[in-house]
Amino acid sequence: MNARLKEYNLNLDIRQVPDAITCIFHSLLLHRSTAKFHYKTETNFQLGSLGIKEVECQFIDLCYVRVNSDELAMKVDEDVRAFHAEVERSTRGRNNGVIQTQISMEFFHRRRKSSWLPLVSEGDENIPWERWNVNLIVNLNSNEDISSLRETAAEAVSDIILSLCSCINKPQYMPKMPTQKEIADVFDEQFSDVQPYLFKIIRNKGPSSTNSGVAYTMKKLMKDTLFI
Amino acid sequence: MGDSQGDFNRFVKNFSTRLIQTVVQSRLGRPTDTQCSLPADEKDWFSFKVDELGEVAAYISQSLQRFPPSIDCFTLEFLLYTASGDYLPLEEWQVSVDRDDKDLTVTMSNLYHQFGVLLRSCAIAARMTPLSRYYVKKQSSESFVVLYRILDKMGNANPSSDDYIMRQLAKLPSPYGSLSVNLFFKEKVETTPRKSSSPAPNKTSERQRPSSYSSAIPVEGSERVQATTPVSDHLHVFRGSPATPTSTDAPSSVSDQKRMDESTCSSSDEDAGPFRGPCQCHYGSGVSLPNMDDKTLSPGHRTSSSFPFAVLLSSSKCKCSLEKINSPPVEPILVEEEKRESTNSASSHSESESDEEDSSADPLASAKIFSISPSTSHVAPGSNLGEFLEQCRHAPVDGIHGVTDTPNLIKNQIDEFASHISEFDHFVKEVEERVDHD
Repeated sequence: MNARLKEYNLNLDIRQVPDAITCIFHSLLLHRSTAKFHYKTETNFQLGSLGIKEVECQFIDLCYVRVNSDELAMKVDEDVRAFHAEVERSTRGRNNGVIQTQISMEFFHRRRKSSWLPLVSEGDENIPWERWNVNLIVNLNSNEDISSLRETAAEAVSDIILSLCSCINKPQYMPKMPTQKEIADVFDEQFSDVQPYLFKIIRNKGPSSTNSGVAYTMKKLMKDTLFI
Repeated sequence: MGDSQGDFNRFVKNFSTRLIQTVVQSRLGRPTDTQCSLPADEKDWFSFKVDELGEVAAYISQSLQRFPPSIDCFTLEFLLYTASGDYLPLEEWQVSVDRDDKDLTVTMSNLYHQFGVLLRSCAIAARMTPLSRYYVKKQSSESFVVLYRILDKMGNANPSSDDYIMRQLAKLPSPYGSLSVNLFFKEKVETTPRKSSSPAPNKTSERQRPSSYSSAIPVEGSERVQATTPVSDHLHVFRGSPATPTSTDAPSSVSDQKRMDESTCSSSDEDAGPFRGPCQCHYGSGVSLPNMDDKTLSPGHRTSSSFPFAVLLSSSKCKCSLEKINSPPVEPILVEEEKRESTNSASSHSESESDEEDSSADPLASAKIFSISPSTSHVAPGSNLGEFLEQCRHAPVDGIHGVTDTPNLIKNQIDEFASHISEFDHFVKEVEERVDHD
């Protein structure tokens, strides 16, 4: 399994964290979503069309587009708000300084449990095929005027998004389009209007708990080797 | 093989038109909002919904007669046009096909999917450039407006340009060559010698902060100015943002721009080309947009809501005048005719027939145009482009709006009524007699 792993670094005011993360993750999801499938036969399906919605950031001078699905937006928003709340909790009582943290979006497909290898796998296993890490340096100087930070954050985030767009169009492994039976192993079917590849948002509070690129890759490599 | 080559050409053509539409619409300064749909509409390519603007579609068809791989490259260039008359090129999107770089392992279905992903990348990247972040929403007549043009060749930017930053958004391999989309943008604003008047030496200034333009944003829905463009042959003036200037406060340098109204065009573009389909837009490839003199425009021209297809009409009128299209007769259901039929006046009916035949020369034809619309179509004005264009083609070149003809119209109607007053009196008398008999 050659999972793609990309890391980006961002330096933000704590108020800008939700905007920046939402912008990056929605940009990823727009690439990694399809419209709902309508299967005519087991292997023959019809695709819908994806619509987009433009959103303006609150604390960054930036607009971005996302898949026009309120359900998907709500799901992302939940995770990002939880992450922001965790960061805020960890900085309680501190008026200045910086903290480092990380949040990731991982795309995976599901491997069904093999009955002849009961000891190796416990239930279905999620096999990641792409992971995007955002390493954050969060500034806690909340007294600073946000207007002076809006533009610099916009430049940094837009640079990441442009890099992401270039990267995502390079050839790489993608799960095959599934048959009707297999669709739940590849796509997230919980949304009524859109079908993203299976994904999860992974929140890490501190650098000590982050998966560094090499360690993460080695861990996955060993796991896959053992499994196969 | 041949079919696949045809598929590839169609993919590139439809991708190109949708890329231009998507990027140009991102410069409107108006939030994009398109709905997901299942199943996809016939006109949706690459599983991605793009509402096409009629103005942009018309300009594409004028600017790009051929698409890659028939041509090596095309460029979508964005510039700022300042109130002082300077053109500041800021951004270029270059789409090219390298026919020598072939990958026979790529299937057409995979390629179709990749085109879809790339199109979404373009929609995302379009909001991330300095042009979008600093200038799109700050347009005003007092500072600058955003312009764009389409070239059927490589633009000025290239990977070795010092003043441009390049991002290769994609290089998609295929059995028929690789398609590349390169984005070039500037971080610094540079004045070029391309100046419409009062040439000034080149100068470079640091990127201006948006705050310097923030005071000039007019109110949404203000009257739009349509006038001659200073660069009509080469430069397509970008219209329509919340920053559209009012006609009252626009200084001449910018307000003299020809601002193009936008309209949604539902076109399906399959084999026959990108702008055929429900709207049946057949634009002459060699037709250039005539300059629309502000003095000749009626107030109806000044707002997009009342006259949504200004440029299409211009194209249509131009085409009519150039090619002298002998179009099938319209079947006008005139209010005047209905009145005449009710009075059983044979003479007046023959007059109306002769009016129909000579509609192009009759100054009263303007009245017909307005009376046709509500009776023949229940669709809101501007929603059926094909019908609208058809009507426009039959409209007389002069006197469409009939403002100056109104006194003549009233006078003719009074004269006509006077000539038939004896018949009318006779009819009333007969009715009264019958009532008395009953």
